[in-house]
Amino acid sequence: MTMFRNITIGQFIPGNSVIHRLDPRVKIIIAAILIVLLFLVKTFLGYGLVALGIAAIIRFSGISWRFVLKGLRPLLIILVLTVSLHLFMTEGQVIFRIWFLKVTWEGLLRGTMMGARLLLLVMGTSLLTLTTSPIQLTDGIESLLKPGRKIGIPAHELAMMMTIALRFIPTLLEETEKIMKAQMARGADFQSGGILKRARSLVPLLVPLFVNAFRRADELAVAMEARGYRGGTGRTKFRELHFQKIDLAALTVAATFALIVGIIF
Amino acid sequence: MRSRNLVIMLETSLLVAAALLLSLLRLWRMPQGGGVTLEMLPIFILAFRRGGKVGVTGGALLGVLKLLLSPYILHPVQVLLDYPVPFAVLGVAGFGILRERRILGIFVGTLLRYVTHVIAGVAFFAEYAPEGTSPLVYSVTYNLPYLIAQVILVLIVIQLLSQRREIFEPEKE
Repeated sequence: MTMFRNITIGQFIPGNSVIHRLDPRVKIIIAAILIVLLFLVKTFLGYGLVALGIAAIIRFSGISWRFVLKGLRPLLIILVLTVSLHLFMTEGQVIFRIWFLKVTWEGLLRGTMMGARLLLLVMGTSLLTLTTSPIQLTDGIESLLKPGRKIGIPAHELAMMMTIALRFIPTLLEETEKIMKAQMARGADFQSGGILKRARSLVPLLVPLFVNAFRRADELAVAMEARGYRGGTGRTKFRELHFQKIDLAALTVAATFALIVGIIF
Repeated sequence: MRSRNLVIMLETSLLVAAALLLSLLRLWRMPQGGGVTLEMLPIFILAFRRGGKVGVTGGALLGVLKLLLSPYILHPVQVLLDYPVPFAVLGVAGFGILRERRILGIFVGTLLRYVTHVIAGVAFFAEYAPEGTSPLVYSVTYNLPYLIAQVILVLIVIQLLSQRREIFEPEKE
């Protein structure tokens, strides 16, 4: 079973820290503030302060640095590319030359700054998904989209579809693994051969995947209507979002911090 | 009495889940990162089965969920053009003549996805690369190989599945 080995769905690390318990709406807003802030800041001191802020969040969230840094791995290529492009392509006062490449003082500054922005962006935003489960995020998005109902955004329906999709990924995964094993026991081979052969070997996997998905959708519809589901209006929730004092405090701190850093630096 | 809308909503959810599942199943690894998966297949099937609007919605949801599960945010414009939009445009395959001629539909949908990824790349480089570099070339070539591989795979699989009418057409309600 090599194909599904080491699969983790999402990055969420369960925990009970202050950051974990914050209202998901607050965390989404803070992440948005962070993105805007990182595009406003123009000095190294500003980036340094944002880095300190992110470090503080990591500390409070109790998530190990190893996890946060692991999330940066896919960024590596683009980071190296961006920094080196700036390093070698910016005109200015030359620090040293390697063969035909020259490194300029201005390039070094710009490159480091761009690299820092990329790093902080990816780190800051992945903190949101590290400390908030996808279901909570969906609830948060639904609540934040609610005003959009007036202009025709069906917030409740979209959020419900996402929640159900998330709920059924593990179920579909388990089913598919079972079918794969059954097929492999009969000598099926999903891992070798050309594109046509592999596509052909996938058909016995895909047909039940889709047919079961449609059957399940039908059964779910029956079950939901039997329980009186008739859209979002007046529906009560199993998990209610509560905006608490700590949420207000977090939002105030983040907004004040962003205002000060954004305006001064 | 099942309402047709509810069934369509739930089919969308389950096919989006299937797409997320297939996005984890890497059939090949591309040398420069990114893998060849069948993640686009469920969105195309949804578009052919329930029409373009449902396809576009399903695609957008797939993009948003991918963003929620493993965000890779470099730039506000890049977020939009790398997550909801490229998958939403796949759903275009469910409109008009494209729905009848599935091969054409898949081709057009993938082409639109390619264009949005390229624009996302250009937007990213316009922000991050120094003046005087040409971001377009990199963006155009980076996205091409894995999308070509994905579209070939999807086309073959759609052909192999084409006899299964229960997948492409809903039961009479």
